[in-house]
Amino acid sequence: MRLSVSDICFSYGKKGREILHKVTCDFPENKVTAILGPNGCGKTTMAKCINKINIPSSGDIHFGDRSIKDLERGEIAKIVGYVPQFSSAGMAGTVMEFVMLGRRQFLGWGIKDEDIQAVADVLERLNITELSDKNYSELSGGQKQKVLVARALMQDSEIYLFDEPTSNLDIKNELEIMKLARGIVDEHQKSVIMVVHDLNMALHYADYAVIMKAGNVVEHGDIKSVLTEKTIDEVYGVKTKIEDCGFVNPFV
Amino acid sequence: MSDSMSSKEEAIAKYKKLKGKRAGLIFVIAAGLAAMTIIAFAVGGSSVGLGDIFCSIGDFFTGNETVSDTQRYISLDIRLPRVLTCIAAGSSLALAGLLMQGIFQNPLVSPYTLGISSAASFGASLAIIFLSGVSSVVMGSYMTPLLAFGFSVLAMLLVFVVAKVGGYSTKTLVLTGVAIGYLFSSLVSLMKYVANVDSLPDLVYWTMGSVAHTTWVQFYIILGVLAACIVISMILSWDLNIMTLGKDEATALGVNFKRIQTITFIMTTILTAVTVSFTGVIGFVGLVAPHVTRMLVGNDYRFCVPASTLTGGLLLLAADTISRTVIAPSELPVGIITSLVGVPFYLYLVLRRNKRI
Ligand SMILES: Nc1ncnc2c1ncn2[C@@H]1O[C@H](COP(=O)(O)OP(=O)(O)OP(=O)(O)O)[C@@H](O)[C@H]1O
Ligand SMILES: [Mg+2]
Repeated sequence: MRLSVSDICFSYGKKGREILHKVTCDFPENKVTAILGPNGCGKTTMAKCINKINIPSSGDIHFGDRSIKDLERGEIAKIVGYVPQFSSAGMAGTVMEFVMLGRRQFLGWGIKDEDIQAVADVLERLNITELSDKNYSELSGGQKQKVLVARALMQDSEIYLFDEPTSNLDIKNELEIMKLARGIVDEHQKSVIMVVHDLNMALHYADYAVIMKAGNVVEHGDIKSVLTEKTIDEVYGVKTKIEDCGFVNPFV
Repeated sequence: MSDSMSSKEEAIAKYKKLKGKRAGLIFVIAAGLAAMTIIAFAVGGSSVGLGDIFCSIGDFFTGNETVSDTQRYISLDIRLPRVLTCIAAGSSLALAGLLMQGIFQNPLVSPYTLGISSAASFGASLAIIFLSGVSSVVMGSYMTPLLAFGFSVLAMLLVFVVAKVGGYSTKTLVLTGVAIGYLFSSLVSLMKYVANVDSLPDLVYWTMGSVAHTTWVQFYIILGVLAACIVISMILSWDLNIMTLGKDEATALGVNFKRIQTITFIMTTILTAVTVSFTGVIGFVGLVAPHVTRMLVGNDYRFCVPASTLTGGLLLLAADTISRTVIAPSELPVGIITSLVGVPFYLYLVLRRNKRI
């Protein structure tokens, strides 16, 4: 499903400083889109707008041809599967129960065998089956992050919105999540939007990029054409050299 | 591959076993409550035993007269309503505490965190000090609960409105509640200061909480509110489960955070206000019962709503039975017993919690 953001402005609180200034960009269907930009530029804020957690003061967001304003929260939860950058969950129960919450929109009052099966499948897909009966609040940062991804997958949505899903992960798990994102797009024909800081990862795994700076979208388009040395200098103020390694794995 | 298959089956089996264990525990708590109820029926200052209670109940339905009028009166109009009110009041406080802890994502919150107990005490003190002469004529003993209830609801409305002006986050709600609680408790102190020798003991006694003088009407009112709130909480179980994740994540998972928070806020206010109005301020049941419950059956509201209400009823009934037997024929206010048991437990929880962080 195509997602387009047009002219949204947002500030926290009625009189707060404006964080997003008339942001316009689109997120093509069936692609991995990376949202890039320095700390504090408004990536998480925009992600929360896409989720209707934040409601923009002006502008609009469309899923396909439906405006976010006409969608109920439950409907949005079925369209956008969300991995938050931070989770404050303190009384969340076991990993199995925590991940089950992602299925809210499909659950009846009682839990059916197929629900449990679905959760177990996702845990297995992420190689975290052995965590199933641990308490979420007692997991490590990286384990929590994978569980959050599992919960988002349970939403079985059209679009997956991952806010820095790999910030706490070791390199093996990071690659695993990146490959999972590719798999969602390539095998399941859905879209993934992810906020990432690792430009190498982005270049390697994403198709499309939205580059932000101080509440504005600087560039958006095919990642190979927008993520240039010049843009990186402009956005981050860091001189870099992009070398085309072809298919050489850039992490070794 | 076969290895991972088996561990997946294992995970499913473990989860099902956990669910079974929780259902079993709820059954055990229910059995404990039933046993405690029988004990509470049996003991007491007067010469009415368990047999007399059952005979009186039998008489009530059949119209026979197998026990004396006095025994029937003590059974049906004193001990029975007291025991049942005790269970309903404990359950109400526990449910209110459970709901509050969920929306504030904090297991150390109690039904009184937002200041409702101080507001109720203030209302009660007005009635006790200024209306004690009038009340016997006009509305009998109902002036105190009415004013206590009125001020509880008023205080919560105030908290709600002020918090709404301040952006209505969970944090502003708590901070506003604490502030308004202080306001009312200083007003209560003022009332104690101006109270005369006759009304001061009544006021002090009220703020310690007691179920000694409960009536059937009180029981039915508490029960009605409790039943409605249990049903609503059970229906909303999944939303309440998700609410414990906080506003952002709850919203992302499709829950209307504000709506559920408002419904929960209204339920906890009415549950607590009604209970406190009739029983005075009974501490710690609303904090301890949900906490014990979470340790036993976890955080899934489908399990912890019934478990909490049963545990709350059990705790308060046990405390009340102790309070009327330790120094029989006289009795202690039940609030003292619950706090005496509650404080050490609370400290234990706080210390344990800090150790984990
Ligand atoms: N809840 C909030 N209330 C007020 N201001 C906020 C809030 N959340 C974020 N901000 C402000 O909004 C701006 C953008 O924050 P945001 O979290 O969107 O940045 P980000 O691009 O995701 O950064 P990072 O890469 O560090 O995650 C920051 O200046 C931050 O101070
Ligand atoms: Mg961020």
